[in-house]
Amino acid sequence: MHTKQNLFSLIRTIQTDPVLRENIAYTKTIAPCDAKTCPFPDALDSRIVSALQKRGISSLYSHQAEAYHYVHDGKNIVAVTPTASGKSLCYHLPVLQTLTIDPESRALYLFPTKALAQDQKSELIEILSQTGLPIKSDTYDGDTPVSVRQLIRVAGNIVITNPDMLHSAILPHHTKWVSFFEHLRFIVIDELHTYRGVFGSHVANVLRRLQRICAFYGSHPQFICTSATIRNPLELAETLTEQPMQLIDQNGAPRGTKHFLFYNPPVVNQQLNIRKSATLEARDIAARFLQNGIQTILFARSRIRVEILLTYLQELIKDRLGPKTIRGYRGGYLPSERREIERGLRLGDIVGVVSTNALELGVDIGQLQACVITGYPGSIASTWQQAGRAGRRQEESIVVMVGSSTPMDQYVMTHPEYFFERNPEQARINPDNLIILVDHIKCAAYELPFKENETFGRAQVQEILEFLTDEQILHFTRGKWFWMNQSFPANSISLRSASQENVVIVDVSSQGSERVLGEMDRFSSMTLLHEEAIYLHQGVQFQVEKLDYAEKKAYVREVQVDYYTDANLAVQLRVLVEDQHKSWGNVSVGFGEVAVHAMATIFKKITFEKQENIGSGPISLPEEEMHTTASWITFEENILASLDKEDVECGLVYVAHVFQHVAPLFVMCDPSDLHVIAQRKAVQTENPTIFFYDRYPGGVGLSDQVYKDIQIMIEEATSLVRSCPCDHGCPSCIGASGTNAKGLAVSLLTAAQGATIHVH
Amino acid sequence: MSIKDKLSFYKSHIHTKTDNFHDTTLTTPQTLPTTASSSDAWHAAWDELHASPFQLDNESIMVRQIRYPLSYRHGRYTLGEILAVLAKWNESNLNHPLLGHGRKENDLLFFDTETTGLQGGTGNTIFLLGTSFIEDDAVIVHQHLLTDPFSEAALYHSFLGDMRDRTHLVTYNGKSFDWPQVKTRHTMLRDTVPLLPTLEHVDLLHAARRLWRDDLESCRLSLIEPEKLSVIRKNDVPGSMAPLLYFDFLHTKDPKTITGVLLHNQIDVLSLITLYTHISNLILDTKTYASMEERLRLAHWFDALGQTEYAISLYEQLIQTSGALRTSAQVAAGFCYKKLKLWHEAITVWECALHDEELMHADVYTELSKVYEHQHKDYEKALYYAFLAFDTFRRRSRLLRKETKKGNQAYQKRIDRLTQKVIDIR
Repeated sequence: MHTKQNLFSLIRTIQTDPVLRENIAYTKTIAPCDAKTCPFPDALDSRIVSALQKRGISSLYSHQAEAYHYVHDGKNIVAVTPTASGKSLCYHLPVLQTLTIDPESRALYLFPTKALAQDQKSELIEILSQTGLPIKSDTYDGDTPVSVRQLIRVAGNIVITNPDMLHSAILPHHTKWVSFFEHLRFIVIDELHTYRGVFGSHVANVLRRLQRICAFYGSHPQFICTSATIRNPLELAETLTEQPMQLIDQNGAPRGTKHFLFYNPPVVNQQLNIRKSATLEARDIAARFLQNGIQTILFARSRIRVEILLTYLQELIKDRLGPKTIRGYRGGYLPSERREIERGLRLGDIVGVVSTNALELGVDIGQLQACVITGYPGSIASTWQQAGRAGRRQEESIVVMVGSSTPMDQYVMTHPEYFFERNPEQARINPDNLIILVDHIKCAAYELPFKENETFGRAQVQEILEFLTDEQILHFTRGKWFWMNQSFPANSISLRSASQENVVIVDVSSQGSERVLGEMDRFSSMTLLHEEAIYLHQGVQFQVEKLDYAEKKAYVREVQVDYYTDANLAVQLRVLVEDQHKSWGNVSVGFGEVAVHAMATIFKKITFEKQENIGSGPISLPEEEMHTTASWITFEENILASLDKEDVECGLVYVAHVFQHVAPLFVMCDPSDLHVIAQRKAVQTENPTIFFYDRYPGGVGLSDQVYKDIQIMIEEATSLVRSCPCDHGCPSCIGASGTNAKGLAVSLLTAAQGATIHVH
Repeated sequence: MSIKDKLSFYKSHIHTKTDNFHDTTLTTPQTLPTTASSSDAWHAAWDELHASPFQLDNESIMVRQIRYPLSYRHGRYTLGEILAVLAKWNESNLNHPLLGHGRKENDLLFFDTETTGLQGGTGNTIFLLGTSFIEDDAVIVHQHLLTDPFSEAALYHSFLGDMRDRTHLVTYNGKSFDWPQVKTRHTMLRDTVPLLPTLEHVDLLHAARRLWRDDLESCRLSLIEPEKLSVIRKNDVPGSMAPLLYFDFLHTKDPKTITGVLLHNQIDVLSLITLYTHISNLILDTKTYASMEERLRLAHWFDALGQTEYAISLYEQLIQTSGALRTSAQVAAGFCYKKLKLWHEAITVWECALHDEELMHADVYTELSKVYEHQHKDYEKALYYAFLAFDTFRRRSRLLRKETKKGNQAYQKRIDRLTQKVIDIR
């Protein structure tokens, strides 16, 4: 390769290279698509039109125009917009137009993080200055100086903030925002898809509180939401806001040809089915692009991988292009730094960016020609978000996804149709999770007394109010519940976790500058933060020195070791109530409330390289109990009669392992949010059972989804095990290997589909 | 599963603990059935407290009214002494934020609240609004008690009655706590209560900080009372217990539960009168009432208010004495003279201060150097003081172990410039 190849010829080379071709599991070419545009609406204020023209925009994409018209007609909207399709105009246009007509009106912009809010603020300020309109806009968050806060409250037309700030600083002080709430016309929710799971369930309740306060001040704002591609944007928006929504999902932005390659690294150990490292393969592929001067973004799974890859790639092209031409991009970068990278990419000074999933969210870094993804990002939605980083308008682009050895990745590599044909995952929230709901009813009661028969969004709250009265937090008198407590409830409620009983992780690596790394719920801390555990944070290894269970603190120190720890959690699961039930053949599936009793017993140290056990130790922590939701598959004992007890036991463990990796694919969650355990004799039925339970008290709707999709999941799990190239089971499928292990797993999975069992 | 059952299942995960500020948790007696006898007993108890209901539509609160003769002594003053003080204000031609000319005694409304929480926020309820004011040769204490949270509109209606025809609110920390909280709760009742009038607001905390910040551990009223006002409370319920007692009262409805809080607040609003009288006396009749420290503080205060001449007169009083504060007064007086461009007086008072004592005040030397250089064009003297300033500065920095290049430069620059001027003239 002496001369630089252009992208077009490079794609051909990759597809025909005999070595590479071997490893390409799948190729798909996505056809280009022209822009669908509409002229500016006639009524649009001329100052806005001229500002857009100054920015080089002479017409609207169809989805922007649709958004404008629906909002103009008074509808709430949710617009699904892929990366770089001009989504912010979907809300700026109707909001600014309204402000030209009614300068008193106000809008609230919500972004999931402070950084995104900052980014959007700079863009908005730029547009505003081009229109010359006297519209005041600013961010209102923890960084806002006290001196300007009052000004924003009294006069800010567009207030940009995040849900946490709304929850703890704005709503509990709503009387300082009277004119804001009286004139609130729009609530903009950007990055809607990030509001899922526990966080989303909290935010849904914050929005209930917000709407309750708006009603008090006599305003009924419209919602404008934008979301990345997920399966259920409309449902999510409607559940989150509890308002009817109009979906806009026909994107009008143009798109060039996109080549999507699945690259599965070669097997280096046939017996154990171990493949070459995805990180190294991704590095080499990215290097190929970069050496040819093709602007490339490389996604890595952790911060440390980003640094390693960055060092290597900078070294590689240093002589040719200079090291500054490849930049890292992780969480924690300053807006000014981002602007610089963005500008560098536009001007071509920067050819490569190595990033964590920080760039999945709507940060605008412009568009590149090639995208390399290390390992399946965990969901279809975030894969498309990452892939969307490549592909300039009307130009050809390439995306290469490199698979790792995990069952999830191998499933995707061997089932490209799962990725391309299935709808992206659903984002699930459960605003009525009792613990979360009770938290927000407290906050809501603090903000305004509850009246008899008042509902909280769609939730019935009478019994909860009575409960809080018994607990002497509220006082009931003459048909109203009053907050009657000394505390300030929002202060002790974090939107980012379900249970308030979290363990704080403190990094004590450098004396004098101890810092809090994060928090973890008590239940997980038993297996992940016990003493001597290796805790991974953004790819950096830490060893737990002390777990102070009473004080809820874990002290960790940075280390570099070649092993990880795996703790054994003895779990007892008891079904409290079965809410739903279905069955086929000799298999029944249930869904309901369960009590999980868990006790950490021992932990093992296992090497990364060979997966060898190099030591173990006891864990002495008390038993924890958690109530949550679960769904379960129960086999009637007689259908497994042909197997001996030990085989049943092992088989269940194998199948649980497969499910642990497959189930998150279907419910769009982190594998640690949904746990799968097997019991040879479940407490109630005494029959072999596999449980899927939400790892948060009260559940956030994951096992609910498992119950609905259980049949497809069983089929997919069977197919994963069957199609795995190993002979007797491997870490990429059933998690173990042994004579007939694989056969056992397949037998049980077949039985789960209602077939009779055959012993192989 | 029913929500009730679930609530008990999940109880351990639900946060019901509150941040109590005291270890003493009160046991809540079970709500007693309102029997005729207990209701009669309460009736009698309210009577004894001079409390009677105030009703508005279907809402009802209790209002206590206690009348004190002007001869009643609260701490170091009788209540009536405020009249003398107001007369003195009217005679005096001092302009001071604490009051000023033309105030009649019934312009003032002394005011303090008790709330259910310590932090500001919409859920923090004011359950007791206490006021005191002068009316027809007596001091009246009014306490508006929210006996039922439902009746908040009645509470504010009743309170607004006290505010009618008044021009000045007098509070202790009311500017940042009580009044904003009144506004918060009032906003939440917006449709049912008339607008709040806009009154001038005198916050005595600000005055107390001016006078006693260095003197007392903190400027809490409970500390000012014994130290400065000779008010001694007996069997007082601490303010921090008020919320818990109120929660109890809501359950029991027994006036005895809340009596302690009522008495506490009653003393608060009386102390406001005594404090107002005392601070006014310090200002208006400094020679009789104020200690040396207080005089210096008062002088600083007037200085900060821009009433330089009056500040000078107070400083000069201190300079006439031989007390420990004499030098501080001289230094400060010099700056006042400088403000008035009375260069000669400034030099005199500063040089006097230097004469008395070896000063560690580099600023005074620099000031002298500046006056000699720019006003008197006496560069040699100016240079002399510039050297002294630098010397003092360096000694100070050495003592404090923080030497800064930047600090040194400014002194060096002045010395260089003056040296050049001295040479030029020669």
